[in-house]
Amino acid sequence: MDLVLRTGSLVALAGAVAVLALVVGYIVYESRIPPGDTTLAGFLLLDRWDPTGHPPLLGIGHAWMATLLVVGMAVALATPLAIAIGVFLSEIAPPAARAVAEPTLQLLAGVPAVVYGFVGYATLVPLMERWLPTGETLLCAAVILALMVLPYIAATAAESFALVGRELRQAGLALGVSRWYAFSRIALRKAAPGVLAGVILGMGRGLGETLAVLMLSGNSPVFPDGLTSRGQPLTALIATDLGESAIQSDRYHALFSAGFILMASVIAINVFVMHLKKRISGAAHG
Amino acid sequence: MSLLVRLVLVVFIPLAYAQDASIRVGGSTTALPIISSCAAHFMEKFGSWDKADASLKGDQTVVYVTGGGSGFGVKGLLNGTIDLGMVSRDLKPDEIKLLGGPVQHVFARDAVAIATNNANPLAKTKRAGFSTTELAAIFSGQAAQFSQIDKSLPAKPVVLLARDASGGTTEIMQDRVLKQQRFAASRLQFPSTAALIKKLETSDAAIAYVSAGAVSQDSDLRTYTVDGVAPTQENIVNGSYSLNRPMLVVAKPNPPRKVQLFVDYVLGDCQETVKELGFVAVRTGK
Repeated sequence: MDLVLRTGSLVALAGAVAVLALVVGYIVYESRIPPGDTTLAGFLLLDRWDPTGHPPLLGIGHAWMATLLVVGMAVALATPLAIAIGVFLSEIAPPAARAVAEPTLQLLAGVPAVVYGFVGYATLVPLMERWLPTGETLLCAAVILALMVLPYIAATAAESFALVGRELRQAGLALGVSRWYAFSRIALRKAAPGVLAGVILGMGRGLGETLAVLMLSGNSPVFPDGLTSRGQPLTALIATDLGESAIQSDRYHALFSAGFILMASVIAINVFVMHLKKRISGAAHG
Repeated sequence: MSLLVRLVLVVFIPLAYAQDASIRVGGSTTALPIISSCAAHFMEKFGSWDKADASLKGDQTVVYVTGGGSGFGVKGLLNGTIDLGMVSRDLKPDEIKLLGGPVQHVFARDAVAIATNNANPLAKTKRAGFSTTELAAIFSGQAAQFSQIDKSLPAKPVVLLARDASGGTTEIMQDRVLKQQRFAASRLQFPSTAALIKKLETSDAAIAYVSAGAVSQDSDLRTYTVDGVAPTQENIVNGSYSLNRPMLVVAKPNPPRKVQLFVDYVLGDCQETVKELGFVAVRTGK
């Protein structure tokens, strides 16, 4: 029986790894950087995205700029709130509040992206339209994305604050420092790498988000010129254009290359988080 | 050519060869939803060929429909891969020559209307429409403010709404209006005509090009003339309205009886389907 279970789980693991390797391999295989006649600078930075124009232009500069702006803004908005939630949960909250708040956070993380997108479209877009020509902006996408990454950052932050340990904090308080000093100089400093890991995890989550940002950013292939500009993040570009790209065309390879860049960023982020976690747990035990 | 269409081609064409009782249709992906829906109704109505025409044998009625693009609609006909081609443009003279005087019928028209909602500043002026040159300036982003379209209007930004590149409407705008110019990158792109119309109804600053069949019955919206011609059913069918293209079914000279029966069905009962799918019917069905 043991043997069956062991072989079975081994096969399942091998299958999962093989599928992952196939996906990564296929994206690498189909990527051409730069695609077709496009120059590298044109593809990454200079050219517009206009595959149906004369002549076709295949630049993804606008897309990764939009991705950076949206994800950067989302994380910047979510992080202070997430730290506050983390501190509240680990230091202040009575057990009853914790029992409610923690599953709520998990639930928030499980809400489908389309629901966030729709809620944003029905509430935030009309609100912003009071001041802007269109409510669909990078800012709008970022606000909703901030809500989406919040649970990830908050959960990791709460965990790291809990790891700091009561003794260390009580030792500080026993030495007569204020509660704020104990928090800012002891707990926050000790928990910082963990919080950072959460922030980076949230970034990875935000980079891959597609549907909500597609609905809320305007999906306009324009170089963003500010936070209230419209834009088209990488994920939205791929989702919008892949269906119309003839297999093996330059446009098809350009989209796979965009996917490759996205994938490489997310993998790099995850490797960094793993490294950070190892250091934290090493520090906790050492 | 999308992956799905390729798969369908690979899977079904050999099957189709094996069965003489079937007819094979292929070509334009814009026409694909109409013709495949017609084929489904046709097969449902006439379970076997003798029910469609008593002189035929009572084999099961089978109509295979695949995409491949308008070019394939001609090429496939030439090399015998298909019996009936779908083409979303006029046949070129050399294609007519190669096919030796083919049988061709316009079964629908795909037209683009320029539309705003009734509260748009442009709708409040006495303007009846635009010239092609004006439209090119608007949709290329040169006239980005209402004051640049009409001097009596305020310098408020114009919001352009567009279907993503998968809509055939985008092709018409590029070919007939923009020609060598490029679409304004700041346009909002929508994945479906329904989503676009929803936005157009609520955004007073928006101008859109949209499938003519989809806006004709919407009382919140108004359409504009192009070079003095209104996008009415009559003007679209007789071709005087310029932003439109024919959708053809093409067969070799003296097509087999089964092909002729299906063409008759497309031009008859199927015209209802044409309207339902947002295209302009060329004949009033029964």
